[in-house]
Amino acid sequence: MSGHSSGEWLLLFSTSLIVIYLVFYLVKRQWNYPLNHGPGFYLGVEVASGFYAGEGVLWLKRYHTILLTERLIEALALAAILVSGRWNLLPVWAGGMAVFATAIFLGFTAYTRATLGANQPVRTSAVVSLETRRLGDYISWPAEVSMAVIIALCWALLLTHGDAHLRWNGPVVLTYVLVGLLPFKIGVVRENPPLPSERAEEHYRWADAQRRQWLRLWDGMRWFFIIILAGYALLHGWPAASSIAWLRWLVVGIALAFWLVLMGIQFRDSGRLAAMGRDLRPLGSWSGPFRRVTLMMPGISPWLFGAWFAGLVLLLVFFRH
Amino acid sequence: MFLTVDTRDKRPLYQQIVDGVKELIARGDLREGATLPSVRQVAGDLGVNLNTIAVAYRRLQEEGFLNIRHGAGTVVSSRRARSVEEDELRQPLRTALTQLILAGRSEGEITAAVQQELAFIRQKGDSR
Repeated sequence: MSGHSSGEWLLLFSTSLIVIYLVFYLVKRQWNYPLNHGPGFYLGVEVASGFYAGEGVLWLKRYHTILLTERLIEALALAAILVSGRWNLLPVWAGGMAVFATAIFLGFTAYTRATLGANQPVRTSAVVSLETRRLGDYISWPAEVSMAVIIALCWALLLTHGDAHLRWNGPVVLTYVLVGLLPFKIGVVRENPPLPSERAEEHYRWADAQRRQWLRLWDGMRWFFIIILAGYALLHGWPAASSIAWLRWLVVGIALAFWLVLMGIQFRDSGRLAAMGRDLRPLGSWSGPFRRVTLMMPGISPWLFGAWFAGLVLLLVFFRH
Repeated sequence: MFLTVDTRDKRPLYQQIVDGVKELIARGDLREGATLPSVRQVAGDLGVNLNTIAVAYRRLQEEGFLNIRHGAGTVVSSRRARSVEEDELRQPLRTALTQLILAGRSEGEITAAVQQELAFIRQKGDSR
């Protein structure tokens, strides 16, 4: 460790910023998230008046417990990295925790929907927008092709020049995450929840803003994983890499800086979205006459997400043995 | 532009879509050359069978309002229906008037209602 003290200080500084950000995000955005639409809703489920004076107290406690447990796990994992001095695991921790937090959030939302929101109001009417949503308006195909090319180059480098320290679990899991997020992007563009007949346009604009925010976040996450994959490929596939001492620190530093910028954007966007939809009905807090929406964001099938996440867990378990 | 469908409406779903699109065209909300979303998108958003929307689009195409080109999308082709007999054109009006008379509306009330509806459609059309 002594040979890389300046790099380590940089990483400690970045990690401190990440921790401060996570605490700030927890307090400012997540803690009262279930109340984003006022006391008439809990996590997108319509509740009776007086809910927060009775049953709602327990539901809020459950939500806060989940949130704190998730943060505790993140803190323990971070502490283990700091104590062991395995700095190169920091980007993996940052990315892994983002995936973990999303899975926990979606899982708890789905659970809330299935229990508290099992009998959500069914409307007799539904409104549909006649605005065309083309994949190309939301997904940048040149960016997708660039990602595919970088992934292919990384694999080519690792397959042809991989050194003795190369472990395949990292590239396989990263590639799975990168490629696996594309169907979600397509799903999010393709689908839109049925809109309520009152203030339909505002609900549509809000749903569309959410759609774009999710796409931006996922793309950011994917570029973050691309940086890690490319860095890993360089470190283990480029013979000269072993002689450049600072290369490892550079890769980790770039990844962490990117992650921080990404989270900053996410913080800004989530605030804007919350303000935009504050006096609107949360998406999916009702059922249309022909379909119901299972999660708060448009287009994310819990089954698709569940299958993707299960695949990720299976891969991690497989490589663990 | 938005279309509303209601299960309490006695008209079949495809007919509600047909009438809704025609209303948007009559008001000028949907202009000639405007693109409509694909059958898959509308069906997915509403959560109904693809065939329901396909039938509605086909009906609108037969009446001369839409031009469906595979691969190029669905485009509003005209603000006017293909030429139809005057009698056929007036039939829905006659049905609506009959319903208003049977509901006990006076001639003055019916005339006022027709003028209001006409003004509503014109107002939307002129504002574009």
